[in-house]
Amino acid sequence: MKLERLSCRRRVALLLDYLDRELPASERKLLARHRASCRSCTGLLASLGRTVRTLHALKRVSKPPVSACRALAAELRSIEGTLP
Amino acid sequence: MIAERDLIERSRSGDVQAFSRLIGRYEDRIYRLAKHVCVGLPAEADDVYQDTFLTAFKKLKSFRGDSELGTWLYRIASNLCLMRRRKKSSEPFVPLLDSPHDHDDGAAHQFRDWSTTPEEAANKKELVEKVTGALAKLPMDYRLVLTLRDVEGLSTAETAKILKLSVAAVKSRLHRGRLFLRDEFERAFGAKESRR
Repeated sequence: MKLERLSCRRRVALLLDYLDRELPASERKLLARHRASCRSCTGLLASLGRTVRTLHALKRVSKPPVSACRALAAELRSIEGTLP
Repeated sequence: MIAERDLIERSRSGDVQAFSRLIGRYEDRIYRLAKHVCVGLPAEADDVYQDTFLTAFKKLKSFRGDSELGTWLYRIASNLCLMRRRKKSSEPFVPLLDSPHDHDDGAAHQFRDWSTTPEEAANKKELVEKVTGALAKLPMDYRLVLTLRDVEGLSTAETAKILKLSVAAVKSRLHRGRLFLRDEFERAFGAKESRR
């Protein structure tokens, strides 16, 4: 398979799978080789990679507020023993 | 540590204490999803968090264990978010999502990589606000996909399963959403530092 012969849409689909590590090893190798010589694909992968890493950093935040935890615990106590 | 299936069994028979231990294992994930999907509406996020676990406790008898408990909880939370959206009248309209530039010159798009920024701790609050602010500009369908896939780190197949979408539909929303956020991050974090 020659990457240059693929339609733009198909090539982008492959690039996305490459970025998400969801490509089979053989195609991954092919993409890696193409990437080394294609400025456009390298740039797209780099900018989307930064976007994904930036989003993933949100995983480090977010604990439910104490008030929400207490409200949930109270609701659960109130229905305890009432379920069929 | 008590095995999850034992906690599920005890919870099925109405043991709130056992269910509270399950909540402890999954509450961060569910709250994060609620917070990022109901972005800008903290009271809604709290409600989705609470309703997810209340619904799960009531319906645990119907959980057959075909999927992971976490996947099932994500699905309940996602459905609750979508049900709340149906009650609202408007969603953001983002023209870019209708005609994304599929293969543009990525080299022109540079912004500071937050995940590796040394001063991250000091600036964390401001950066979180900028990232969530960008997410808020997207419709909920896109926020759900991006939160499950890129924030929570689930696979495309898992995301599709939770949202009952095809893998192709998830990939399409993922790509369009990422391109939109990339441009938003570039504006928010500035391009000057990286363009050397």
